[in-house]
This record gives sequence, structure tokens and C-alpha cells, in this order.
Amino acid sequence: MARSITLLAPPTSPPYAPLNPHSPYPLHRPTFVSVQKLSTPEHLKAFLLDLPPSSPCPCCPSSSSSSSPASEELKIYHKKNNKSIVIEIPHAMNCINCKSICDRLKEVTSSGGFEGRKDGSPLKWRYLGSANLPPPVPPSTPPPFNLPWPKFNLLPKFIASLVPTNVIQIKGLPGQGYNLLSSSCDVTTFSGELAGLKRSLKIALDLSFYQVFVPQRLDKVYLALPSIQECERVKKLIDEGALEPLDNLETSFVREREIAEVKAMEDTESTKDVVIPGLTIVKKWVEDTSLAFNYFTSPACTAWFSQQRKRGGVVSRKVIHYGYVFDYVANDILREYEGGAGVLEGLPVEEQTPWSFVTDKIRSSHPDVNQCTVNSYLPGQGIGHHIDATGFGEPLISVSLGGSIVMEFRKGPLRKFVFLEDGDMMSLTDSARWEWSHGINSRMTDLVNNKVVKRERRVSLTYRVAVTKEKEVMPFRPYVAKVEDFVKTPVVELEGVKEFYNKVAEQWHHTRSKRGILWPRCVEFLNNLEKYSIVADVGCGDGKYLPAIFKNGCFGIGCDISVELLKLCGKSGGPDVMQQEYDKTSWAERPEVAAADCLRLPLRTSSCDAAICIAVMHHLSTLPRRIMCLKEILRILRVGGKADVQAWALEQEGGKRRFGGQEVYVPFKVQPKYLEGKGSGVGGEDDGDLISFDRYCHVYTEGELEKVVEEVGVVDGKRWEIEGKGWDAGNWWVRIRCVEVKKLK
Amino acid sequence: MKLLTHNHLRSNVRTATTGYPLIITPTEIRVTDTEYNDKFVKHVMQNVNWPVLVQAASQCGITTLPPTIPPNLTSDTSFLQALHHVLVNVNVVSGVLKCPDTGREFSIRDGICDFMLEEEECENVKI
Repeated sequence: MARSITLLAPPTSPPYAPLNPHSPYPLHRPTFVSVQKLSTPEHLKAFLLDLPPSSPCPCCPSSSSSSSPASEELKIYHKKNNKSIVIEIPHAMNCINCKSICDRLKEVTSSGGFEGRKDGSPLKWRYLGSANLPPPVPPSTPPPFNLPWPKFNLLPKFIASLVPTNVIQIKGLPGQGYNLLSSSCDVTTFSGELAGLKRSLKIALDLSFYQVFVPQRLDKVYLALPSIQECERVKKLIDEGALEPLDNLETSFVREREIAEVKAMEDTESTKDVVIPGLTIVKKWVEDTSLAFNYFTSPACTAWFSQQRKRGGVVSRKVIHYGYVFDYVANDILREYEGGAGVLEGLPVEEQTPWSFVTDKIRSSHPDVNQCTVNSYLPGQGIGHHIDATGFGEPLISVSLGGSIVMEFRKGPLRKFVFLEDGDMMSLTDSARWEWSHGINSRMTDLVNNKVVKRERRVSLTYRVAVTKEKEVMPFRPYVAKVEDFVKTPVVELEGVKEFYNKVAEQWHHTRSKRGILWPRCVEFLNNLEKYSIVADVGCGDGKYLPAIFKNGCFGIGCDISVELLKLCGKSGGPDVMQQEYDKTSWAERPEVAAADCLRLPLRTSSCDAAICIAVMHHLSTLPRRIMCLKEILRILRVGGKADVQAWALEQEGGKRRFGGQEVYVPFKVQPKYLEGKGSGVGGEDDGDLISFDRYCHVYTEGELEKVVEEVGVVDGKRWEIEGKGWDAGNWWVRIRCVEVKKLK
Repeated sequence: MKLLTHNHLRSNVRTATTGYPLIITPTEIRVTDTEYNDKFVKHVMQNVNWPVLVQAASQCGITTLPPTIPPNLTSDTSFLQALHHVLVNVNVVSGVLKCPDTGREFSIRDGICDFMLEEEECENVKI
């Protein structure tokens, strides 16, 4: 979205506008214009030099002598091999004649067929600064300004609003709406833009040495001038079109109160001496936040965050509550809340989640703490100023994970800026909790000790004490991990697994199953089974293991969540290896399959002799779901039955697959012909001729699969016993057997 | 869906006490002809739930199965062949399976049974 402002000599009312009396530069000086992006600069140069001279301008004396009119000769500067030329027009900037000369030149060159870039973009005319001018003659008396910014005043509001200042505000510049909240904003680009804007303004308004302040959104400009009279002069200039071709500009005088908003990007340095009683900050209170931060930002966990209603709209940042739910509409906790989707009952303690250790640490010194709100801030998101509701007591403890942020405290006209980094803990009691409001500005950067710090993704854990109306501490509700809570399929799996397979089913079948490529270890397992066993294939997909089951005389029943894949089981016709296998066993044209979630198998308890679960466990996003899947398999197996479980490993050897972490999205490329008939809005990303789809995977580390097996415990008087385990071709596998739990007499 | 498969299927709605056996209402049945394997039938006969098989067969229009396994016929080839036919050759291509406890219906389409539950049926779980 980079825009450059190309300003030509500004016209004003004839013959020219009065110049700035404070300017140290000579009253009239030549205009420099550069023409850029020419393909053949020499041609343009020759052309311009051939132009008939324009009539002398009475208002513009030449730079060498102040009496004779300026020579009309253009001076062209061109560096060899450079794609641009600089034209020196010997007329003053604000001379109306010069503008017409510039315009005429521009017109002539564009119609003269001078070629710009090959891509057809037009020639770029640019107004240059006074780089080539002779050095300015210092004024005899120093200009009557030193500090352009009036000091921040503690005047009460109603008086403050009446006091005019020497600052004017210009609205409607091209940067308006230049959205710094968009993720593509780059601080360096912004600085470049800002510099360009300042330069152009200074040139146009002849403010070479005044201070220009531009707030983050680039939609307004504040000029601090030496006096109110100067403000009036500049305002008049702009109103009369000094900044043409920019029009629709709104200039206004800034009053005292607006200065506070203008100074939105205050440096934290400026308030370091302000003391707020009750505010305690402990730097790096948590040494290693990576586990907790990765937990909250992993694909699996973000499914829990929800948008919550509040008065007047929606809370834009994502939140999740533990212990007690906070309702933003009622501005109080829900006191009789019994639990529900996306919200867990209690505060996690004792190693129940990757971030329980933070809860433990806080509760060990503040045992009253019984509520936690987790906030996820994307760069650019903030929180409005507020004092926490009376439903909470004190202290209020906030732990910051991930990116750094500046939090602002306000009390009346007083301010304090606090810089919070990864691992910092902030505790609010007394005045800080009850009298000072706090908030975070919605912007992309912060100013800390004279440095601009870019905002990154941040997660904050805010621990509070929920109290009754009588100010008594409410009971502590500890977190109890119930496996049943996780039976509901999270969004990440609905989109990243079920929908994925439904969309790519045909291509998947084509690349994987038709060629009959099976995991040798699994085939070995199936071959070693007792003949005529009933074998369940949990997550059978397009049933590629079913022929191997039938080959051995066994009877296979497959289950999968993707109906599209199941439809491709035993697809008759064509050079299909699977089909040929089926034909060999002559077990009818379609194997036995049912559409079902692996966490809710439609099979009778203890009805199967064996089970295989290949490439399924890595699609389950949370530990309780993985445990549940293995629990289901344990349930359907009779005592003595065996299972072969296999899932993707984080640890890969050479090869194409290398995972950045355990929670990943793995792309799969599909030829468009396989997507026909899948309906509109198929999704996926264009990758040349192939469309790429992402599937969600949680890849396993060494020993992780065994830990899940151990967590399964006892189901219907049976438990798992690990018979074998290992790593093979990028997968972790376990062979487990169903054994009876001996009752103690 | 073959009748042997049906013998192993149960309703996966959590509020069902057992969800077994599922009541079949077939709308299309296809009878195939597969190779008879006596060892397979003998092995399966030991583990199959006979009353359920009889009931399922009758729901598909086959009423010729005896109510219990006749002990003298366990080695009789013709009986075993008939049993093989009932277990494996009778395919319910389309129809409905109904849970006996909750009445929830699962459709069978093109031989594939659909046991995918709505999210509401998965909550309030007790194992």
C-alpha cells in the first residue's frame, strides 16, 4: 500500500503567496523536479533542452542576481546509466507561472511518447527538496521557537479545552486509512512513508525547520509552529490549496486537551517516575513460558477461544475463563454457571495442563485466587480502559506470555506506562486495583525508552479472586479432567481432518490406495493373526488394509469419519489393486464399512479379535481424545485380542517430511480434476496447477504413544499390555494386547 | 452390510444402555455368491450371537433359521452352507438400523452404515 506523494509547485492566489518571513532560504529559489523510471533518459533530456524557452517570469529573479528576471533555460542533470533525470526549473516554488511550466513540461513529456517502465507504469514526477541549494544564510536573530511542543498541562478539562495552542492539525492526507492494524504493516515501510510525507509538507508549506508530528495511523498531521500567527498563515495556505493536488484537507487549530491524544505514543520513559501504590511488577517471574504459550497458541487450543458479547458490541480479542465465567454484558461473574462448551470448570493445578505450574505458583502465595481469564492478543489488539468489576476482590495478578506490550494506567489526568515482557508478572492491589484504570492501546507498536517495539502475539493469564456480594471469597473449583468432555469434535479436527478427507478423497484414493502401498509392519501383524478373526480397522479410510485382512481369511469391519473415502472402498472397475485383491478373495464387491468417529465406535463390547489403528492417532488434537480412542478399541476387543497402533513421528529421517513442531498442518496437493463435483467453496490454495489442502496433525515424540496407552486404564475389566513398540519409517508404533484385570480377592 | 457385521454392531449413542441389537428395516437387499469356507463358518458360529442372527435374518426376510443351533447339525455341510449364505451373502444395500433403547435411526446407503452422531448426542456422556 505504499503511496508516494508527488507534489508539483503549489499554486496559490496570483501572483504568489507571501513567503515565510522566518525562512532562512532566499526568497526565490529554483524548482527541482525529478523524472524517474525512464527507459531512455537521454531522449527526454535532449527533448527538454530543445524546448523553446518560456517567457521570463516577472516574479522570479534569478538565483545569481536579484534584479534581472530568471533565465528560462532548463538545466538537466543526468547521471550516466541512471534511469532518472533531474530538471532544474529556474522559477520559484510558489510562483504560479512555475506551476504552469511544470505542468506543461509534464504534459509534453507524457504526450511525447517517452517511455516509462516496460510494465506500462507512468513516468514519475517528483518534487525534490533543496538538496542542491546553496547553504542557507543563518538568520540574524534566532527564530522565536525552541520547544515546539507545549508541555503537558494538568489543567482541568473545561479550561483546557479553551486554550489554543501553536499546533495545527491537518486531516485528509493520502495516508488516511493506511491501516497500521493490518498484519502487513512493516515499521520500516511506515518510517519511509512518514519521512516522505514530512518532506513533502515541509517543501510545500515552506516549513523546512519546523516539527511535524504524525501519529501512527498516518491520517492526521500535527504541525508545531512557533506562534499562533504562523498557525494562521499555514492554515490559510492550505485552505487555498498549497498542497495541491491534494484537496479535501481539513485544517484545524489544536487545543490543549487534544495534545493528550496527540501524544498517544508516549514513551514509557516519560512516566518512569510515576508511582502507583499497589502496583508491583516482577520481571521474568516465569522463566520459561514456551510450554504455556505454545499450548494456548496451538491449533488444538485455539478452538476453545470464543468471541464474547459485551455491552455495545463484541470483545474482539479472544478469551477463555477458568474457575468462574465472566460475563461481559452483566459485567460480573456468572455465579450459578454449571459449565459448557469451550469453558472448563475449574482452575488447573497439579500438572494437569502445560500451564498448571503458573496457577500453582500464584496460589501458593495467594491462596484466595480462584478465577483466571486467558486473553489472546493479536498484534494490534488492545483492551479498553477499565477498572475491574466489583465481583472480584484483590489482588489482580497478570502474567504475560509471548510478545511484549505497553500497558497504560490512568487516574484522572495522571498516566503511567508499564512495559510488560514475556514472563513478567504484574500484581495490582489497593490504589492500582481500585482507583487506577488500565488498558492497552490498539496499535501495532509501542515506544519504549526511545525505541519503537513491534507488537507480537501475546497471551495473558489474569488471575483474580471472585467474591460474593458480601465480599467473601468464593469457593475454589479445581479442574477435573473428564474424558467425556472431550468427546465433542473440536473445530480444528472438523476442518482439518473430516472436511479435509471429504474434499481430497478421490486424489487420496488415487495416490495411496490404488497402488496398494501398505505399511509392511501392519501387513505382518495381520498375517500373524489367528485365522478367521474378526478384525476392526479403526479409521480405515478408503479401506486399503481390508483386502490384506480378507486375504488371511479374516473378516474385517472398517470405520471412518469420512463418508467420501468410504465410498471409494472396493470401487469396482479399473486397474485398481485393491479391487483385484477383493476379487481374489471373492468376498463380494464391497468390504464392510461404516461411517463412525473413532471415539464412538458402533461395535459391540468384546466382539472383535483384533484391531488396527493406522494413521489415526495423529489426527486427534487433545490427549483425552487420544485416550478415548484407545479406550474404545480396548472396549471392542475381547480378552486376548491384539491391536496395532501407528502414528506419525516428529522424528523423521532424511526424506521429505520434517515437522516444525508437534502441532502441524501438513499440505496435500490435489489435481483440480479430482475436485469436480465437490461443490462450490471447496477451499484450498492454488499451487500452480495443483490445489493444496492442509490437514491437521499432532505428531508424536518418542514414548508419547506408550504414555497414552498407559493412561487408558481399565475398561470393562480389561486393560492394555504393551507387547512391542518402536519407530519405523517415520512412524511410532505400538503392539498392544487386551488383558483381563485380575480381581483382588 | 452383511448379517455377520450386523451381529457385531451396536448403537453408539451414549444414552443407550446397550444399543444392541439394532433393528433392521431393509429397503434393498442384494444377495451375492461367495466361496464357501467351512473352517470360517465353524469358527464364526462359536462366537456369533445366535438369537440376534435369527432375528436379523427374519427382518431381512429369511425365516428358515432354527431358534437355537441344533447340536447335531454343527458338522452338517448343508446346514453350514446355508449358514454361510445367511452370514455373508445377504447384503443390506440400503435401509435403516434402529437403536432398541433410544429409537435413534442410522441409515444404510450403498452398503455403508452411517453412525456419525450429531454433537448434541455426544454430550452428557457417562461411561
